[in-house]
Amino acid sequence: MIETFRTLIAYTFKEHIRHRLYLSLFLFGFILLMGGLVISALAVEQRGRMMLDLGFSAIEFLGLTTIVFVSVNLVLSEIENRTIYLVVSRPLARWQYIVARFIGTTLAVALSMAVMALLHAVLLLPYTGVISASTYVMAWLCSVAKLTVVGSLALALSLLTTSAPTAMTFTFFLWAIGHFSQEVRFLGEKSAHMGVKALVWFFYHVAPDFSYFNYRDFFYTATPPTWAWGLSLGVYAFSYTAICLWIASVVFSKREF
Amino acid sequence: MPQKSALAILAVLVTLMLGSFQAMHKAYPWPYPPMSHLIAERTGLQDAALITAGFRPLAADIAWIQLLQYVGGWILPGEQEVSRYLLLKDMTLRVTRIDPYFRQVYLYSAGMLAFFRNIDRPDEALEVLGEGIRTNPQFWPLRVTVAAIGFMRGEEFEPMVRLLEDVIAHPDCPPVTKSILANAYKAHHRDADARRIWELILGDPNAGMYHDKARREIVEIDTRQLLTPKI
Repeated sequence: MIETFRTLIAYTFKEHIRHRLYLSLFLFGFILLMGGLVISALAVEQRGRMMLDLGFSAIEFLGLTTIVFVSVNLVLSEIENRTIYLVVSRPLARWQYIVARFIGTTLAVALSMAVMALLHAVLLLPYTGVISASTYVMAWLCSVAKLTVVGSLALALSLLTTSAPTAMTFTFFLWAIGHFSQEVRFLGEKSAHMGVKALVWFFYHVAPDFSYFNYRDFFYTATPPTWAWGLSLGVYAFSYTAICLWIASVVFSKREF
Repeated sequence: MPQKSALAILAVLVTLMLGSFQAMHKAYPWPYPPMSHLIAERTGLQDAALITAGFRPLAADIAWIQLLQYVGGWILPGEQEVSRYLLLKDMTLRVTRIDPYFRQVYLYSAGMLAFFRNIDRPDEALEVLGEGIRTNPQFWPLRVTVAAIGFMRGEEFEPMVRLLEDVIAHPDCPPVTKSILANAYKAHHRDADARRIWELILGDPNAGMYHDKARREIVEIDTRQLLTPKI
């Protein structure tokens, strides 16, 4: 069983890195990073900071686009092409299929983000003192963790809605809400109405809190986060992803082929 | 997988998720002000959209570039007089409300507001610095600049330049503060000190915009000294 699981992960990984969309987004990422060299000149004395922020944003934006498009179509395209029949006839539990496909996708996206980060780090070399290597790696890891949660959300939504455009729209909406979570909490605190407070509490806890994954926002602050934050963030990312995969597996198991 | 064990796994995961969510917020309280604090008059949509998309530092960088463009002569719609930079304080606070930890912006604008003769609005400079001190109490150049402005208002040159010397020693000090100090020395005919500061600017790779001026000033000082008859 483990062998089949591993084969499925490897198959998904190769499928993605050979995909035209993946390669074109990858190329776009390179262009965006190189373009950062020109754009950052406008920031004059803050060129290093601009290069850093623009690079992080470009890497995350392209990772986001890739993982949403790929995750949403991960199972839906197989259902549409009817290749899913070949898979479900194999001695592999449906949840294992979902998890293996998801891991393969996440690895492919993480690889593209790693290559882009490597190029970004090379471009940052002349700007000494802008960021330390360990801080950069931490910011990159947080970005990958964030996109892992987004990928699992997109996959669960694609199976729940069975429509790629709807799933993508909901995923991007949740991405925005996830960065808005502190504002949502603030609104809840300001409201005197109990119904509004309850609704806000629900959204605040159920919607993913993506703003807390932005380590790149925190290292500028007076007191950067501690290891306790990193540990709880890791557990949060893992449990949120696992819940989404659980939902995706249950929905997929109930489908009849 | 049996339904009961699947539900048990879900219950464990939800507990883990909610527990880690609380722990994460407890370990690190949110360090940024709410969006209602943003200066939203002209560019609120741009700033809010970038923050909501998760790119807060990039939003601050773009606002910083727009501040530089304004200082460089870009006139905003509805603004008549550009030479006094009437919107300088608002545009500065726009950047720092997006990212209150963008420390150099406070020094950059406060220096211009307080020490540039054509602007001369030290009260606004103190307002900008006050906001910076509230969010960055450990960043001492902000407090020292406040004291320097106090001495400038009392026309006490010596203590003012001594404090500005401290500020320019900080690695995060913007080149504009160095140029302010060099010009202050020049105005008081202290050529050796002015030359020293211009050389410092020449050696700063981040002060590229000031390098031409620094070279010109050094040549001017050297020529003046050559032409001055020695007694």
